[in-house]
Amino acid sequence: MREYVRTLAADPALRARMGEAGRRRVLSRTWESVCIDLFARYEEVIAARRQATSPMSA
Amino acid sequence: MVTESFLPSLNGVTTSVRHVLEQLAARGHEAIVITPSAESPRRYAGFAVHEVPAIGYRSFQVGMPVPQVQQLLARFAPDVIHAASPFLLGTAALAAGRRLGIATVAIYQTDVARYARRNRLRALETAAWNVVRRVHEGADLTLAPSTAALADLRRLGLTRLALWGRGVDVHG
Repeated sequence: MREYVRTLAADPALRARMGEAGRRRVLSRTWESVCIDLFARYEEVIAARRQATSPMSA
Repeated sequence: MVTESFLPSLNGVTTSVRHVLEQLAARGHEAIVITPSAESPRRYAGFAVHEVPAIGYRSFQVGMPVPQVQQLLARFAPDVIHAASPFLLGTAALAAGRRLGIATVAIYQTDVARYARRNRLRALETAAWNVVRRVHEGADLTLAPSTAALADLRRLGLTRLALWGRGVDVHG
């Protein structure tokens, strides 16, 4: 662990690269995109419920 | 949005609920929040927050109608009920949803059973899994935060399951 910290401390370019890679990884997990997934699930259960209660939808 | 935990309590459940409410508001949706009484703010993200006193739902048996919860849901008539980490209040809301024909999504989050296992509370762990099963059986869909949690729920015999990861706050 100490060695890794030393390596990063000595290499600003590596720090920047790793920082950016980490940031890119979590960008797809913003609350906005996570909630878009959630609202798509809402739509699924709403549609399923409508289908179940509507006699015309068979 | 029926949540066992809300402001002023700060925890993972509250955080998720706040973000979801903000995203709903940003998209122009309507919502209400139903939460146990804990001196929560009256409104959040422009939505009314309704507090239900513990006496209003704890004294009822699981599966029995809880009038205050059912009235709030019947009056607002949402397209969907989101039960955040459902336990006593959430279970009442899921049952009300079934009775009212409203779609329901339950978010599995608290992980009581794993907590019990970690702390060697075997009897409590078994009881906790039984509660989790009974609560989530009542939802049209249960969302789990990880594949490990999903596997736990599947092992209980639950079937209407999907994965839903939590967000990361990139702005700090």
